[in-house]
Amino acid sequence: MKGQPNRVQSDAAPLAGTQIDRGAPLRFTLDGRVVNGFAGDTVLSALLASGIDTAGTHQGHAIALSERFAPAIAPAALAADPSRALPMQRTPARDGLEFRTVSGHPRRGFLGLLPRNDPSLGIRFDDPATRTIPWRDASPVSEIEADLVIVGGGVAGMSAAVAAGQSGSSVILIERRQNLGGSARLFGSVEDEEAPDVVIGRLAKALAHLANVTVLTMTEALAVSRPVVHAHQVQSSEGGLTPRRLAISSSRIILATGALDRLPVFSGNRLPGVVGLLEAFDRADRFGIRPGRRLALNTATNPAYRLAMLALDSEVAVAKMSDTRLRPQSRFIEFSKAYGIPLSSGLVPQSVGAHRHGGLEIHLSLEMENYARPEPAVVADQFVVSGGWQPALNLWLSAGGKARWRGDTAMLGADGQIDGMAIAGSVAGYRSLSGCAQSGIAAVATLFGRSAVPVFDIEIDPIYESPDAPASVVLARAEDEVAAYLDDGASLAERPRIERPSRLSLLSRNRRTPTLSESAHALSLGDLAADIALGLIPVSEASAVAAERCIDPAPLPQADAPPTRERETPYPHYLNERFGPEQAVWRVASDEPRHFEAGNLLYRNTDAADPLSACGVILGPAAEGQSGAIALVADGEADRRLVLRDTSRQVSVRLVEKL
Amino acid sequence: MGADAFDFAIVGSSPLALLLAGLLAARHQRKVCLVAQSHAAFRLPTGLDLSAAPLTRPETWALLAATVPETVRLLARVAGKLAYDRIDPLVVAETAAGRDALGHVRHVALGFGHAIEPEPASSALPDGAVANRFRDAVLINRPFLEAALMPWLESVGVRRLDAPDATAEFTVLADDEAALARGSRLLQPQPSLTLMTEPLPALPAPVMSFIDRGLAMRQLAGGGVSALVRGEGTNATGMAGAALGERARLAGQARFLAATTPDGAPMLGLSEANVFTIAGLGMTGAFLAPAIARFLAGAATTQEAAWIDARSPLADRSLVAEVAS
Repeated sequence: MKGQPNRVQSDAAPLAGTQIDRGAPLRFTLDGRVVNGFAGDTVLSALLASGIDTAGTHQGHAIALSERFAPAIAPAALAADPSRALPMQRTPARDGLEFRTVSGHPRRGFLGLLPRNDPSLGIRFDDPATRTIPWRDASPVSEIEADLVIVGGGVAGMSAAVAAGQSGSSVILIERRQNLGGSARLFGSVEDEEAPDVVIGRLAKALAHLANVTVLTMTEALAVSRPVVHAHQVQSSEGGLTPRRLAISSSRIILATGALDRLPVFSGNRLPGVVGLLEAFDRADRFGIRPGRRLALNTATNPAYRLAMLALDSEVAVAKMSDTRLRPQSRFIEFSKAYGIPLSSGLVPQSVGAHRHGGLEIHLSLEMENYARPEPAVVADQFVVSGGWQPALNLWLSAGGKARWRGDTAMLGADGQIDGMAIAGSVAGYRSLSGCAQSGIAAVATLFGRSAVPVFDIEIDPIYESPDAPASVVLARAEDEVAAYLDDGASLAERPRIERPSRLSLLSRNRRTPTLSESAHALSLGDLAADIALGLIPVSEASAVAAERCIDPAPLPQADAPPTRERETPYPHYLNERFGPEQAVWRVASDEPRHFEAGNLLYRNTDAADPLSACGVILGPAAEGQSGAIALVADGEADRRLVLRDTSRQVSVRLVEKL
Repeated sequence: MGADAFDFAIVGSSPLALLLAGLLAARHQRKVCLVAQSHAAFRLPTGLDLSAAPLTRPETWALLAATVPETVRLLARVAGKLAYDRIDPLVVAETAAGRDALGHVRHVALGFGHAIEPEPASSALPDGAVANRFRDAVLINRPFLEAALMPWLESVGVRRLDAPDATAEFTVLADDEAALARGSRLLQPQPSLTLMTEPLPALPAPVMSFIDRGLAMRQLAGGGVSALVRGEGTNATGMAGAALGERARLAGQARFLAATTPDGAPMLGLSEANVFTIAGLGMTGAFLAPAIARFLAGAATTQEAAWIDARSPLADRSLVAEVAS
C-alpha cells in the first residue's frame, strides 16, 4: 500500500473497496507527480487514496478535490488538444500513463514540478476559465438512436432498462460511474425488502442477457435537448483512453438521475477534509478510501449513521457523531449506540478551519429555539456532512421542465410533464429501494402507453424514523475567515459575507454588493436551495429563478449578420412629417465638394442650431452620376440656400431639384 | 373618496413605475398605491435604464434634456450615488438602414449638446459595423435602486399592494408586463430574451446597443454580460452570441414579452377608462418619470403635455414614429 496513505489497509474491512483489485497495483503521473493506485481506481480515487485531496485555491483558501469539483485532465502528449480532455472522476487509472491538468496552470515548484507531498493540485480557481468543462463545447462525433434512453444506472434506471428491454425495445442506459447500482448500498433496505446487493445483482444479470440494451458506463449526460440527450463518454480500451461526445436520439427519455447531497452552509465547508455523505460513502465503498483516521460527522439524515458504523469497522475512529435534528429517531441510531459511537443532537456546524497540529478544527453549536450554545471544538481528519437531499433535476430543467419548491421537504421537485420524458427513482421523490425499482418500471409503462404500474414507496413512521431535515445554513459572521459556499459544484457561489471595515474604508466605502441577478454564473440546484434558506430568494420565486439560472452553461450559438434592411423610400418612417406636412425630397448640392452624411441637419440661417428648428435633413448621397445629396426639406424652391451643420462646421447648400 | 382610496394605482416593477409612484406621492401630494414585485435582486432584468438611446425625434431629446438632470438629482437624493453610473455606451449599426438611423440619431443628439464620437473600426465590432460612442450617459443599477427606493416610497406614503386597488381613481400601467396584461389594441407582445453570460473580457463599452439586431447588452462588474434581445430561439440567442464572440457561455436565460408598437414610438395615454398605459419607452423610460408624473398630476409643461399627447393611442402616431431598435 505504498504511497496510498488514505487507503483502508485491510481488504477484509467492510469498506475495503468493491471496485478495486488490490492485486493489481498501478502507477501514473499527474503534472509530473507520481500517483499510486489499483486497477479499478479512477484517476480521482487514486489521487485521493494517495493523499491529494485539494484541487487548488479560491480567494486564497484551499478547495477540496471532489467528485463534483475536479479539474479536467488529458494524457500529457495530448494536453494541448481540448477535445482530448478527460474528467478525472470518470477516467480509469492506467499504469504508466502521464496526465496533465488542462483546466488551469498549476502552481509549480523547482524544475517546474509540483512540490512533493503537496496535497494540492495547485490550481487557482479565481479565474472562471479554470472551471470550464472542455468537453461541453465539443461537437458530437457519434450519433446513435434507441427506442428509449435512460439516464442514470441506479436501481430505478436499471429496473427501467430491464422492463423496456424485456419488451423488445432498444434501450441505451447511461451511467457516469464505472458500475451500475447507484447509491442504493448506502441507503439499504427497509422492512422486508431485499438487500440492495441482491436487487442490483439480479438486475445486472437480467441486463447482461438483453442484447437490445446497451449500457454506457463512464458516460455523463450533459444536457437534454429533446429528442437528443447530449453525453460525454470516456472509452477505455487496450489502445488507451478516448473521450467521445455523443448525441443520443430517442423519442422517449427517462431521467433516473438520483438525488444530490446538499452541502450545509458554514464557514470552511469546502476545505479539504470536509466531504458530503454520498461521496464519503462512495469513496470508501467503491475504492476503499478511508475518511481519515479520526472521523467526525454531522448529519440531517439517517444514513450517515450507517457510514459511521462502517467506518468503525474499517480502521477509523469516530470522534463525534452529531445531528442537526433534536432527538432524532432511527434504526441506524440505535445500532450506532450499540457500537458505542458518541452521539449528540441539535448541533449545527458553525465553522471549520485548519487545526494547528493538523486535521480540521470543527466548531458546532447547540441550536434550539431562541437558544444557542457553542460546543467545545472537535478535531478530526475528516468531517463528513449530510445536509439532506436535492433531486438531481438539472437535465429535467435543461429539457424545459419546470420545478416547484416543496416546503415540506425544503427541496425543489419536478413539476408538470414533458412529452416523451419521465422521471424515476429518487429524482422523482421515491425513497425506498422497492419504490425506486417500481418507479423505473412505471416510467417505462407511461412512456410506452401501457397500463399504469402502481408504485409503493415504503415509508417508516416518523415515530421510528425521523424524516431527513434540510441542510443547515448558518448566517455570515464578521469573524468568519474562510468562505461558506452554497454548494459543492463549480459555481463556487458563496454565502454573502459581512464586509469588515477596512483601513482604507474611506476609499472603499462606495462599493455595491453584487446581487444574484448580476451573477455571471449559472446556479446549481444546491446554490438555489441555499439561497432560499438564506432568504435571498423568496420561496414564491424559486421556480422562476430555477428556470432562469439552473441551466446548462452552453456556449451561445453564433448567428449570421443581421438580415439586410434596405433604406426606406422616399425616406424612413421615423422622419414622417418631421418637417411638417409639406416636406419633400430634394437634391441638394454644396459649393465645394464634400461628403454628406445621413442625419446632417439643415437650417434656414446660420444662427439656428436647435434641432427643433431644423428645416431639413440629409437622407444620403445623390443618385449615381449626380453630385450632392438627397435631403428631406420642409418647403422650398430651387436655388434656395440652407445651412448644413456638421458638428462644429457650417456649410452652405443649395436646393437643386425637387424629386 | 374614502380613507383607503387612492388617486393612483401604479402597476409595475420597473424603475419608471417606482419613480412615478414616489414622485406622485412626494412631489404632487397624491395618494398612491404601488402594485409591484421586488425581484430585481434575484431575477434577470428585462430592461436597461440609460439616459441616452437611439432616438431620432428631436422633441424626445429636448424632453430628456430637461428630465435627465432632474431624475439624476432625485436618484442621488433618495437612493444615493450608487444607484447609477456614468458611462460611455456604444450604439452599433450594421445595415444600410441602421447606419442611416444612427446618423440621424447622432446629429439630433449633437444638436442638443451631447458628445458623440464615431468609434474606430476594431476587431471587437462586427465586420462592416459603424458605431458611435455617447459620452457621459447615466445608467441605473436596477437591483440597487429597487432596494434603495422602497424605504423612500414608504416614507412618502406609497402603499404596497399585491393587486390593483379597485378604488383608485386612476390606474397607471407602468411597465410592459402590466401593459400587456391589460391589453391594448396598439401594443404587440414581442417575445424577447435576457441572456446572462459567464465572465468575458472587457467589451468595447459597458453598454452596447445594436440597432439592427434588436440587442442591448451590459457588461457587469464581474465581467458577465446581460444581453436583452428581441426574438426567441437560436435566432435570437445567435444574434447575441455573434455580438459577444465564440467565448460567450450562458449563465442564465429568461424569456419575457416586450410591449412594442407598430410605429416604434412609445405609447402613453388612456387605453381604457381611467387606465393610463405607458409602454414601449425603451431604455430612457425611467428618465422621463418627472415629466410623466407632472402630466398625471395635471402639472405638466406645455412641452411635456404635447410630447405625451402626441404618443397617445388616439393620436396620429405616424407623426411620432421612431426607430424600432
